[in-house]
Amino acid sequence: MTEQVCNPMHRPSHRRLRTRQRSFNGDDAVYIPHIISQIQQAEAASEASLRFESLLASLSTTFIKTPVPDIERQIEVGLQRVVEYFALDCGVLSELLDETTTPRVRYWYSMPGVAVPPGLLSLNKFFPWYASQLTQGNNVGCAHIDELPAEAGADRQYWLCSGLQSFLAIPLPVDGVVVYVLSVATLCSEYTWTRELIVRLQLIGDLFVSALMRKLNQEKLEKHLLLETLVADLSTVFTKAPASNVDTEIEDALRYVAECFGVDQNFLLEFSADHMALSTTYGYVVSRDSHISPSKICIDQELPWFTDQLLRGELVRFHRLDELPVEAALAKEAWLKRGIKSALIVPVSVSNTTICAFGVAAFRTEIDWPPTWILFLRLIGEILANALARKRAEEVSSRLWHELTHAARIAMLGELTASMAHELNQPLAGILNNAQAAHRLLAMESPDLVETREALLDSIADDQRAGKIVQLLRALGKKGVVERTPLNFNTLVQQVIRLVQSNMFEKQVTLSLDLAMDLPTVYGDPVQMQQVVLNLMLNAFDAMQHRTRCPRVLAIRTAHEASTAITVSFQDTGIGVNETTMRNMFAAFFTTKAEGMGMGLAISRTIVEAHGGRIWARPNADCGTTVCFTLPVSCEVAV
Amino acid sequence: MNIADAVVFVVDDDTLFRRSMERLLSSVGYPVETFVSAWEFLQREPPTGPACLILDVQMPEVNGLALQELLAGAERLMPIIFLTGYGTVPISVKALKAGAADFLQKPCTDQVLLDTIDRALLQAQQAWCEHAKQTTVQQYLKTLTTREREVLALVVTGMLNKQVADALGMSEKTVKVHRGRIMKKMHAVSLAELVRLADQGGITP
Repeated sequence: MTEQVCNPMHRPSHRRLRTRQRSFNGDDAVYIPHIISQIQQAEAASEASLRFESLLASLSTTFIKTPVPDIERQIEVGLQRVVEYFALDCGVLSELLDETTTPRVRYWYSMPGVAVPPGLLSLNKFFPWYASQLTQGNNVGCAHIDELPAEAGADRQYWLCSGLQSFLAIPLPVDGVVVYVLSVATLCSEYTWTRELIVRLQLIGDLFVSALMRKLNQEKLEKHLLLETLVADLSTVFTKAPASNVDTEIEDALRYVAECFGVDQNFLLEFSADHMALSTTYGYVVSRDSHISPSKICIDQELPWFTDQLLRGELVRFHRLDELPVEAALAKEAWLKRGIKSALIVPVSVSNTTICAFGVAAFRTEIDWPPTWILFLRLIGEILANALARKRAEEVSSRLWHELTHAARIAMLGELTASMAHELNQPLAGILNNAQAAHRLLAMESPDLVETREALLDSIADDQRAGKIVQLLRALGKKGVVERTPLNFNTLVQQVIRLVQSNMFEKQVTLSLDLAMDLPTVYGDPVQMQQVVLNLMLNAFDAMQHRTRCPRVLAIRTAHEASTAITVSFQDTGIGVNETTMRNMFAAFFTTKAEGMGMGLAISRTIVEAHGGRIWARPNADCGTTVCFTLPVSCEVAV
Repeated sequence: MNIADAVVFVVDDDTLFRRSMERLLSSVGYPVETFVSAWEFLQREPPTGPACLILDVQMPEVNGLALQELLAGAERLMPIIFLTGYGTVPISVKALKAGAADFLQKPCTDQVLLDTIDRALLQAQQAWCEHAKQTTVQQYLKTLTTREREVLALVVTGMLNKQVADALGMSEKTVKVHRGRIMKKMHAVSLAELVRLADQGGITP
């Protein structure tokens, strides 16, 4: 307070006090009544001063105690107190966004029945003098509109129309730049703006501004914290997200980012293969405005300037479209068409190569992008780009694995050509025999219709048998999508046996089946599972190929444990495997066969594990090996 | 062409196929017997007349080729026709070398199948005729005395009575008597026929 007393704006009253002291110390005490009147005036002034100081103290205490979210309301309350205290009609605190546009009225108060006149609200082209005075830091005011200087002619015209009597506008600078304006006015009576009053209003205005600054700083800090938390959250999410979830995680992240930054839309742009164009891979648009469709975010045309800028590692940042250089005309037009007012787009590099760009944009208001956001956007862009790169890599590897599995299946089917031909020719031969027999039977004088009917029924049965084999072969040969259906392994094992039967006879292998009753259903891809069973059977045949002394027996067993898992085991009487082979047999490219690729068991393991199961091998007590796999019995993966 | 009482055996592990074969062959008029495995077939009495065996290659336990091996020596009287769902060159070569009458691929038309069966049965019939003749000669041979056998063995070599007499240390007249008895016992009308019969009976010069 003492400081404020020394403020030059208090100078007039000081001067007056000094004058009074001098005349008091003077020789002649003739003008006593005059002195009394002077004393009375001084007392009145001192009382007014006291009253004002108590208002100021009260306001300042209020603002100190007011938590940030309440500051705006308290400013409005403060304006009301000011208007009432100084017996004015209205008070406005507005923010100058810049000199050419209308100031944004942040807070105002007007006495009941009094409308805030437009002159106090707008600084547009109708009030050029007023605007220039304020931006230069000069107070503007008049007791009556007619007192305005000649150069304010244009302004005056409009003020006259607005019904203003007296007004005062005080610019309130922040760091040397006029940001806020406190304006007060009367509409019905003239008001004399004494220096004292101006100083007092200025003090109150400073109080408002300092409270607002506190609020802004606090908000800025909170925003910064929020963005830091956002980056931390996103990096945690994407570190944990499996490749299959990356899509949804990115979409969620974009919504989260838009909320945290308070922007209307954000997007991840990817360069085309030739780096000529950019396309939107992921985007989010706030849906509060239903007329904004997500297609707005698509940058689907070639914008050379924009692409070049980002490829050079430069960011694209504009507060208003006008700020864009001439060479960006095409981009400007594209954005204008999409209603974009402000945008900030940063290039994102992964291992020193710009692979995409991340950006935020606004279409409802213009946003002057804070410099700190660039860093945050770069960080977020990198997190998203890394996740995307990981997802792409996993997609490629998954596709290759799928192809390899298919190739292995086809190779396995190749081994079964003889068996398959036999299995198909058998029913075909039966059908032909039956048809020919029926033909002969009918040609007889008294045809044996019962026998003919039997022949036809057998043909149907044979045909169905052939059909099933063709179906199985087609399924194994196709390169379809992986599906999950309920599977009964007893049926599945028997289907595969049918396929390898002749192969088995040829290799003189005897099969011993021990299929569990009430085997629970498991969920899985039928083709992949047949592939596993086929692979394990063919491996067993190979293992027994060079066994001449002891019988070649393959024992296949299905079993279940407490209804939680099923086990399928393949026990052979083959040559067995050594410890090294036992350890490595499920690894890719490990083989003991001259023509083997070493992929069969590796693929089987991948398939079993992808179904939540486990596969292992153990030596038998006497001779040969047993390979087992388990699969969980669960309904949760049911499609 | 049907050969009276000729039986066709079918050995195949596939029930539907066995039934279809039985039906087809019955419709043509062949007596058919089917067997599910080599073991089942081996338990049957050997046939006493012309027959043929239609055999599948790929069967559990004893496969077609193994059965062919077990039946070795009998295939002249019971030709084997292999009928397989998937025949490879090595398998067919092996089967044919071991004396198979034919090697057919499933499915085959009734014309091919029946022609093959007819051929096989004709072959079997001829074999049976041979077999029957051989049996007669053996029976005739059995009626000869030891001395007569000795004389026969030398006569078929083209020796004159005098030479035979010298070789066996007997008179020429005795040789003549033996020869007359031999001709009668062997039901031969000429020396040429006697030589042929002796040859069939395993007595070769």
